[in-house]
Amino acid sequence: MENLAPPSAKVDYTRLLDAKAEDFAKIAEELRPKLMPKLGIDYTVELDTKPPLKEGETHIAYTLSVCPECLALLVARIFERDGKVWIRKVCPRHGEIEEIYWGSYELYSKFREWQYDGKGVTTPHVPLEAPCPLNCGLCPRHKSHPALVNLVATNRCDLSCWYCFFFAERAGYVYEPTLEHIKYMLKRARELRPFPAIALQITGGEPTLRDDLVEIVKIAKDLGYTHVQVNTTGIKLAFDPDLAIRLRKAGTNVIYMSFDGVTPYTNAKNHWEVPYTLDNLRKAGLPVVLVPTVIKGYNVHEVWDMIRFGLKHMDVVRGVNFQPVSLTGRMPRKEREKYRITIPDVLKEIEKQSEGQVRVEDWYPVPSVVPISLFVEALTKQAKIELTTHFACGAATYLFKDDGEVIPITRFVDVKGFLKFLERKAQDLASGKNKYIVMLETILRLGKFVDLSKAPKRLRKSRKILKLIYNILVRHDYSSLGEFHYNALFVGMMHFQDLYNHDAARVQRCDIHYVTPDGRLIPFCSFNVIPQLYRDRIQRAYGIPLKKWLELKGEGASPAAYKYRRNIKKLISGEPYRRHYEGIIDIDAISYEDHVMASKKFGVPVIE
Amino acid sequence: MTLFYSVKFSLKTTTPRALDVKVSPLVFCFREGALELLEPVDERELAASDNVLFDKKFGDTIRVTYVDLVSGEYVAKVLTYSVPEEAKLVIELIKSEGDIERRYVLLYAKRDSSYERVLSTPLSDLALREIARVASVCYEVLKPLTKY
Repeated sequence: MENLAPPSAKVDYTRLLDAKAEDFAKIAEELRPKLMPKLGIDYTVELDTKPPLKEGETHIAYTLSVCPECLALLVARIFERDGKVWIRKVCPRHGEIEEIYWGSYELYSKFREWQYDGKGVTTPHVPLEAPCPLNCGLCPRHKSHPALVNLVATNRCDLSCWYCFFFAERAGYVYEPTLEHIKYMLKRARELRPFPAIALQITGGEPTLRDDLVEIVKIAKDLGYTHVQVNTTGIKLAFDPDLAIRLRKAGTNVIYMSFDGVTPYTNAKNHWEVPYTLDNLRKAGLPVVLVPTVIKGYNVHEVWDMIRFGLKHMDVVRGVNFQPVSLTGRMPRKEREKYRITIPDVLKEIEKQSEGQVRVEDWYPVPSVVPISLFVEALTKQAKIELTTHFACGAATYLFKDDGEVIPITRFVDVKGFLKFLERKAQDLASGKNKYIVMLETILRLGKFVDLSKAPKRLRKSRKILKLIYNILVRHDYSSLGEFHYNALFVGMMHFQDLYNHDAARVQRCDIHYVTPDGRLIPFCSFNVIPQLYRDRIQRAYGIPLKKWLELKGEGASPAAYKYRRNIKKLISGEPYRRHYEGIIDIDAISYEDHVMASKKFGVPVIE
Repeated sequence: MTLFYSVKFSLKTTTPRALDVKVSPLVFCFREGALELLEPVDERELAASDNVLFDKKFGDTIRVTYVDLVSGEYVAKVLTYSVPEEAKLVIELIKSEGDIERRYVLLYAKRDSSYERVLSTPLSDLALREIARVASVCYEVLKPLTKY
């Protein structure tokens, strides 16, 4: 189903080229109502049927979801069966759709204890006129403020991955907002209250294809974004050390880099370039987070090796953030079962592959850190960012390296006890208890939550870990956070949804949003999960037909000019390649022919 | 007479978070400079088609949405009020008890044959003064609302 917007919902691209920020506001006002999903045209509402509960199943909750075929809004049932959590919906036209939701009911119940709801947005960008999730923008019912705003800087890409339908040649248009347009979009996200957006991810396509990427970073910094990250394959950064330096100097905080495995077979996207990228980022002092998409039957067997790779290069790698695959597009159930993996499944794999060094119980859901925000907020009487995303969306832990041993934070900090203690103290403060008494109680109790004998030596010395926690919580000295992160690897997990496991309760709590050219902010799992109503519809409306783009920019801007061709021989013979993968994989066991085949199979041509 | 709709409900949920809440509204109109409490003329079960109405009332006030409602066990009724023609403004007071203890005041202005929300704010003395200013009525008229 294409669900494209009517022809009137299209901007004459020539209007966009020289427009000023205020012009974009006007264009957006005209276009936004036409781009919003329409009842009866784009979707139907079919909320009268409740999916049945079958033998051997235990009901957990109802939610709203959409039909993967026709986008009808449906009631969905979340239930337990065989120790796992499932979601079922029944479309009057397309029948029953059942999907695994979470691989462990036990962990689901544990994570659910940590759900907190946020303050929402008090300055929504669209009025509330349709049911969730068919009214995104953000609308007044949204429960979380943005923690990270994504800006699609271009849909051009130097790769042509076989599974991607997003890049310019396949989409048939180029979407690449001008700097003035970007300024308008980023300002819109900063207008949000009670918390203006402060963290930005510049994404694509491949954002490093833009010659003015550094300018975008500067614009974001000037507008008050304190955290800017660039989401990239890192390929251009592997060959352009100067770009890494310029990005860092402009204020980029971190590179968010795709990294789907440690071998060429699992990571044909950038396996060969990663060592060179890391070296250039090191030289620039620009840290990186590795982002593996985890797919069952494809790269799950390497999850611990990917963490080991991160630990080996902790001087530049700040984190590894796994993303269990989101199955976009239509896919029969058997096919989905082949690839589907959920957060608990990945956690169990990590436990198995690490031989218990990192266990399932070492992980906490994203909103578990809300008590820290509540405590600092109550202490300072200033609103603080709260990560109130749905408990099923993500998980995280910290790993410390100590004399070759890996120590998860949970082995020396009673995380649950500590966070629940902070929650109680926040309640004390909110109910009027003297702040100095609460601070004193906190200081006196801190030691009870930390087992110094099990802490990494560096943090044990002079009770450093306690001082760090005290500085962060009581003195609000966030430079201490940097010190805490030093020698610690953040390991996270974020499971974006698809049309099969889609849950509106998760969408309403989403805190990762896309800022769109019509000045809306759209939750990640609406933007990418229902692209025909959001991502593709909006970007097509603001896009330039490929042919016109070439007329405007000249033949030098044609995909042929920027598509990447890989010189594997050169890359694997370089010293950085061996240095980075040594001890992680058996480098010499992979033949040159295998390297070449992996790259070609993925869609990246090889040159010599 | 113009019809105005409100919703009362009680809800218990476990997922995604435990919630036990009871919400009831009070609806007033201004007539001849005085505040008049309206009684519902009709009461019916909340239907699926009321989902947007529900979210408009509670999504950005007490922050309970229709998705929250259907997730748990609930009893919800749509209340219909008949507002005298001469009343141009309606005040709706939303009071939630239980896990969410909040009071919200919403001001609606008549547009054609329905009422459009023009203001929504937690109930406070300051909020009532602002509403008095917007509605061009004497604050003393609104003051009794604080006791609800």
